[in-house]
Amino acid sequence: MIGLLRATRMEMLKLRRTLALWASILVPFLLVAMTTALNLSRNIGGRFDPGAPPAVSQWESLMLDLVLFLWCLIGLPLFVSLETALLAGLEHRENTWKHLFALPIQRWTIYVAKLLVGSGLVCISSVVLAIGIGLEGLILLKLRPDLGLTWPIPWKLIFLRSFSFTPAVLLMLAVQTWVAVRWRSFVVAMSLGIGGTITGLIFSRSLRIVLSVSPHSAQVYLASFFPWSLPYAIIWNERAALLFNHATNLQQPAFVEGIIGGLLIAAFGCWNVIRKDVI
Amino acid sequence: MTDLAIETAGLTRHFEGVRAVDDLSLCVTRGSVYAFLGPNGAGKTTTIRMLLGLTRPDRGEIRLFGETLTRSNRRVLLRRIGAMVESPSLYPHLTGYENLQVTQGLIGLDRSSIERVLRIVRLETDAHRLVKTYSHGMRQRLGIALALLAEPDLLILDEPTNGLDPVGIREIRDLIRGFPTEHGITVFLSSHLLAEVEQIASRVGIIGHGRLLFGGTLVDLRSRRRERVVIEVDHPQLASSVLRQAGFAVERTDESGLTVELPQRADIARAAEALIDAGLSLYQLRTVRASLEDLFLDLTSGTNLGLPSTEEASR
Repeated sequence: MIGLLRATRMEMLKLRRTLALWASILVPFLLVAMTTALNLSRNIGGRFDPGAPPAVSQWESLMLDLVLFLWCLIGLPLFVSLETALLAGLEHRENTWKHLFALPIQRWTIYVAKLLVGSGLVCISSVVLAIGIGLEGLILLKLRPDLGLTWPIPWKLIFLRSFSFTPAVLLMLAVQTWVAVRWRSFVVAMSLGIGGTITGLIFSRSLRIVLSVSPHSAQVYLASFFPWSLPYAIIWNERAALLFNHATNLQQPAFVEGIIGGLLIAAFGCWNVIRKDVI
Repeated sequence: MTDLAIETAGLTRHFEGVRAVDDLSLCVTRGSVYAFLGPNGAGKTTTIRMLLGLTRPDRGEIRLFGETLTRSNRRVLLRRIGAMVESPSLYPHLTGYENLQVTQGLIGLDRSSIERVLRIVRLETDAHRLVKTYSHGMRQRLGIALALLAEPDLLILDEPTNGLDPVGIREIRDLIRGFPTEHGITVFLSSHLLAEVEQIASRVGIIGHGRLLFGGTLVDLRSRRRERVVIEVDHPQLASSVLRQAGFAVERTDESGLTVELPQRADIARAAEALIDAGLSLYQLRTVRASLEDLFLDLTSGTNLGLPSTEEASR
């Protein structure tokens, strides 16, 4: 465990002056800035989700129908692809693998440290997202009181929602990390990430349509088991339960798949990478 | 305790059907600077990768400090080895100091080891500059510093002077020369240029097409240089055919004269007599020894010089 701790600390040291660290702040911040601009330009008297019952807090609508919706659907999968590719790129750039793997340390610690730091960056992005949502709400409270947001800012709820899908990211993170480490080219990892995001988008749209018609359709399950759409499936289920009172049971399988699947893929990736000859 | 830092027996590795290293057996004595020479693609880097456990051999055995290298003792043996494989493995966005900190932190060494190696490679004043602003020579020196961090008993350097200018080559050479005497480190050094290492190496191994073509001391290598005679005459082409008819092996003919292999001293007098009898004017006749570089090129280009092909043969 000391070896893993050391490897993780050194992985964090390598993040200095890198895009990887800045991206975890900038990407969620840009998404919040975009949704703020969208909300400021809404029609007078408009609502975040016109279909939601009036009793539901507008803060919930703001998060579940716009910011977290966009984040989980597009922002997060692309962010994870970018971060994992950048983290692996730190070693690919000058082929530092040969140096690291020739050191008297356990090789798996290097791989697991990358996964841990990747997870840490996802957590940082969730914190930035939560703070961003609060600030967005504050701006809308001042400039667009007609949108129905109420004081005070529900920080606890915002943080809870912003982290609710985080454990399910593990599967996507493990797959992307393995590909990014295994293949030297940045293009391979990013192509997988973009492909996964687009496929997830298609599945998620079917999830949305099907859920509003029949929450027990087979297609719902298909969308809820695709690694790149797991966070969205969780957010969508939260939204369906709260706003439309749909009784779905997809949240738990998505969590289980995200965590168990993530751990299995992480173990496979680790085994595969440490056994490979360093050329 | 064995006096060998490295010993390999029958080391073989294929890549996609090509035999990169073929039945390689070499021995590196402790406290020596061993130069591992060969042209590009000869199998030097593959051998080094196998020594460090980065690549697994298809066949053969590696013994480091008398112990066979296995998956289970890899970490224990690597504690005694510092290495730079091909180019230095550096993070350009970090400073020199931070680069050393990454390796120091991973191994769990004391922070003072960084200052120590910076002094050895003379990079103290530039340690806090970003590596991307370093010259090629400074990067090479930092790469060596990384290899020295854990105070290794054996230093494996893969082409450490590659791409350096003459000043940089001299700096690295001076640095390496002192390792065995000042720090008690055995150095295993690969290069594709004999001239670069002949001033610092005590033993050499020459590899070509994955096979060890020569293994031994530089004195052994020098003693195997053949003596040739350069003859300057008025008609070199005619002289060449005269000598060939007389049974001599003419190696080269140009405008000023010819080079002939004359194994016996009496042959020199016989060749001169034949040329004078043919009516040719003999201007000069001198014996020369092939340079080490010529010998190295002959070896690696496949010329059979009858040299021992394994370390064992020359020990």
